[in-house]
Amino acid sequence: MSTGTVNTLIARCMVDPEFLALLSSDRDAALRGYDLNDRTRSDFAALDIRRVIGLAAVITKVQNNGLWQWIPNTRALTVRYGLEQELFAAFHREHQALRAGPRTRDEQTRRFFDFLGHALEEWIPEETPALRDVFQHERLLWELRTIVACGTDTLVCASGAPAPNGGLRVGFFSSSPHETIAAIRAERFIPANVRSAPQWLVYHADIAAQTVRTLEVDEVTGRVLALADGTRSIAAIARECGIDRRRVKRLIDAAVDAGLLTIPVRRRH
Amino acid sequence: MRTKRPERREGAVCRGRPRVGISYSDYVRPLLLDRPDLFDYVEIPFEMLRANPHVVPIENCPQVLLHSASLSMAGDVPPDEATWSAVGDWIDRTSTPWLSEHLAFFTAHRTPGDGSAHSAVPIYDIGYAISAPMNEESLDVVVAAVETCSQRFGIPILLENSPLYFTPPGSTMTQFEYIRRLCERSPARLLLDVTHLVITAQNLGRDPIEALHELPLDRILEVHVAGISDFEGTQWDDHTVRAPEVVMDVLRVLARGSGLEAVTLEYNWSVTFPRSMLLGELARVKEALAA
Repeated sequence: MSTGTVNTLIARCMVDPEFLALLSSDRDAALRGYDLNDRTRSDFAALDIRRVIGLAAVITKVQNNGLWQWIPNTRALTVRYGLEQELFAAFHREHQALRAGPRTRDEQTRRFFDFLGHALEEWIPEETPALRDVFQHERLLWELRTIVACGTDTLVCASGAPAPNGGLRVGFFSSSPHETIAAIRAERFIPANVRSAPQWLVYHADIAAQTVRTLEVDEVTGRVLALADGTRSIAAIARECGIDRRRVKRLIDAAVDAGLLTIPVRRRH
Repeated sequence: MRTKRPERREGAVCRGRPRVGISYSDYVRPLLLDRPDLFDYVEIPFEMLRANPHVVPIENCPQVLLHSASLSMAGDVPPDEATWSAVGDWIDRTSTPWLSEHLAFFTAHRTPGDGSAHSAVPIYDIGYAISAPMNEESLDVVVAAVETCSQRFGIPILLENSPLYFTPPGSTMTQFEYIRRLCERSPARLLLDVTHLVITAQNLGRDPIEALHELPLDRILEVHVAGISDFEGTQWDDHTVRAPEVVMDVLRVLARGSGLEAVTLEYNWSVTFPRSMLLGELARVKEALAA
């Protein structure tokens, strides 16, 4: 029966990216073994495969609508730069793998963000001002909110090594994500107006207060805090940053006073 | 502030001026809680209610229309008995005047031994509505499904046109002929997704208003309105952007010359769709209906 077979073939294109790729590259091989009449086989031969791929991308996009809630301004920029369709065509394979098994919402979100981060590094054009900075900003906020929701960060800390007090992330940005987001919200975002504004931002999750705050810091502080992950001693941080140890100690003390870091106490036996 | 839930009416949303409603999603929930007076009804996906009966604040919905994406009307994999039963249950619980479904399929028989990720399951579940080939054979399937729905549920069944990005292989007629033939062969009514109509017409190089006139307008009870995006010259369904003016043009024609009863705004894909824009779309729709 051709109609049922066509449904099977189209459905398979939507849920089986390998098959869609085969249909795209070698139509005869893809259709071999399927019971199709001559007319239907000829219709498949004439099919604009780009539109079939586009439909798979749209479905992938719609089925991931919920994931954007954490990175709404990244979404606004991908739409602005006309990247959505390509992005979800590329995510099709991973999306179907995620559909194949039970996954938590957080895991799905993390996998999507990993994919997006990789796409930004590998193939999304550089001529997309502010996109990378806004994505990094929104992703870090999501990570910190997840820590707040879980009530803990999954760090193993060595005694005496400065560690985040709650959750801590550090990011370097070449433009201000806050400025871009304000422009998007005011519906006055213009890519050409994105100005170079190198900056280090620190994201801190206060688990007890259930809050996340963002602080702008200087480069040295940013580099030091980025290494204060509970595994490095002050001396090790100083070595890796190439900064005087006493200066690092002062910065760490200030961060402890500000509630960003803690230093696990060595136990005496 | 909550308004008193109006008494439900049997069989129709209204007679006379079409009512305007909104398609429910998590994203419109705050608006519904703040302004339950804004819309005449709320269209709720059956699947959402089935997954979590308490997810929708039904008490804040002035009236509910039930919209399903589970019956795969144009497919040869029928829904299981539990699904039929759950749809019937929610028809009763919501007092929906009609049930709308897609003129499409969601599931299809799996190719044995395809080796893909879900290969233990005997069907492909797309999770999305796709048009079946438009021919007499698939019409037989749809007509039978409409008959089954009518017998089981006893309320009007509305079928929604799918957006066409390509003509399904094996089609022997256009979508407009297909819908006309369906209405000749069954008592089905139509949920005309105006955005889908415009997409289909434009992707096939047709004028949307001309295409509209090829449809049995007297069968249309409800319409959907949403946006369209363009990618590499193809028009794509997009519930995150405003409807283009041509959608309002079609709506104006329908308001003048059909039995249209309900217009549903379908901006349910984006948490960032601004409330001001949604209110703007509501005003545009009301203006088009009044023209």
